[in-house]
Amino acid sequence: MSFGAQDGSFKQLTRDYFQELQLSKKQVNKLQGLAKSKRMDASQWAWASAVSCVLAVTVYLAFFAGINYSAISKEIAYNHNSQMQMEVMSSSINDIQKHLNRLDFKLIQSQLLDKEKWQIMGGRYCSIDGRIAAQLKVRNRQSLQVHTFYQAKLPEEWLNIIKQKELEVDGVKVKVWQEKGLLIGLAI
Amino acid sequence: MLKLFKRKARPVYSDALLNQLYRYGFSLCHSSEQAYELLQSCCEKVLQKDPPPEPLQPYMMRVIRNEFIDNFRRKKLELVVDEDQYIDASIVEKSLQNMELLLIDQQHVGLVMERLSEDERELLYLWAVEGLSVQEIAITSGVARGTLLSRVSRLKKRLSDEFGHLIEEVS
Repeated sequence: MSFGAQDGSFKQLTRDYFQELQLSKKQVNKLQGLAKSKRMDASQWAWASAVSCVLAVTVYLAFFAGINYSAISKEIAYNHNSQMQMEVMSSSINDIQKHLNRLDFKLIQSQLLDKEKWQIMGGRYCSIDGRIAAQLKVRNRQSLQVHTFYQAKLPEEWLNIIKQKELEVDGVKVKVWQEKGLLIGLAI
Repeated sequence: MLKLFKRKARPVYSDALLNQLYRYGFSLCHSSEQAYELLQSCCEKVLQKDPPPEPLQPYMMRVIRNEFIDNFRRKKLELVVDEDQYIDASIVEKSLQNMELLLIDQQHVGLVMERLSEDERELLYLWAVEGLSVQEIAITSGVARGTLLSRVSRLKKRLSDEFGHLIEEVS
C-alpha cells in the first residue's frame, strides 16, 4: 500500500472525516429556533404581556363575568311556582325592608314597575344564585294577577352588565335586568 | 414594571458552534441521530441558565459529554493504575505528536473510526480537529491526566497493532 504524504496524513484525514459531518439546515434552524423562542426582547415581552392581558380579560368575560340568565330565570320560576307564604304583608317597601333586616342591600322601587300599575303586597327572604334575595309579591292593578318580583345584590363583577333578558321557564315568563346595582327579576 | 421586561440576552447558537458541537457529540457516540439528540438536549439545558455560562463552547462540550455518559454509556470499568507512576508523560506527549506522521488511505479513516472506542474517537477528535495538547484535552474532557496518558499510549499501540495494515508510519 502506498500513501501520499500530503493527502494521507492521519491527522488531516481524521480532521476531514469530522469536518464533513454537518447538521442539515433544518436541524440548525430548529436548534436556533429553541434559542429564539426563549429570547424575547423588551418590546416582545411588552407585547406578550399586553396580549396576555387582553386574552385573560376575554376569557374572564366569556366564562366568569357573564350572568347566567338561564340559571337565574330557572330559580325565579321555581320560587314563583312554589307559591311560598309571604313573611311580611305590606304595600310599603320600607316596611318590608324593616322586616327583612338581614338583607345586605336596600330594596328599591323599580323604575320599570310603574307604581300606578303595580301594587306591592308583601315579601319574604329567598335566595338567587346562592345569594340572599328578597321575593316580593306584586299585583297588576289592571289584570289583578299576582306576580313575584325579586331583588338581590349584584356581585361587583356583574355590575357593568346591562343586558336585559326575558326567558320562559316551566311555563313562567321571567324578565331579568339590572337596576341601581341590584339584580331584578320578575316572574309573570 | 419595566424591570419585568428586562431579560438578559440568551445565547445565540451560530451555525459554526452547532456543527462543532455536533461533531464532538458524534465523536462520542458515532451516530448522527444520537449526536443530534445530545446537541439538542445540551442547547435546551443551556437555555435554562440565566445568565448563560461563559465561555459557552467548553461548557456545552462538558454538557454533551456528561449527557452522553448518563444516557448512552454507563461508566465502564477502566483500568487506571496510577499511570503517572508508570507512564512517562513526555513519551506519551511525543507519541501523540508522532501520530501526525501516520499515513492512511482516506477510504480507511471511516473504518478505523468505526472500530475505535468512544474514548479513543473523542481523543482523536480533540487532537485532530480541535488541535489540543494532552494537557488541554485533560481539561476539556475532564479526564484525569494520568488516565488520558494511558489512553493515548493504548491508542497509539492499537493503531499500530490492529490498524497497521491500514496505517503506515513515516520516519
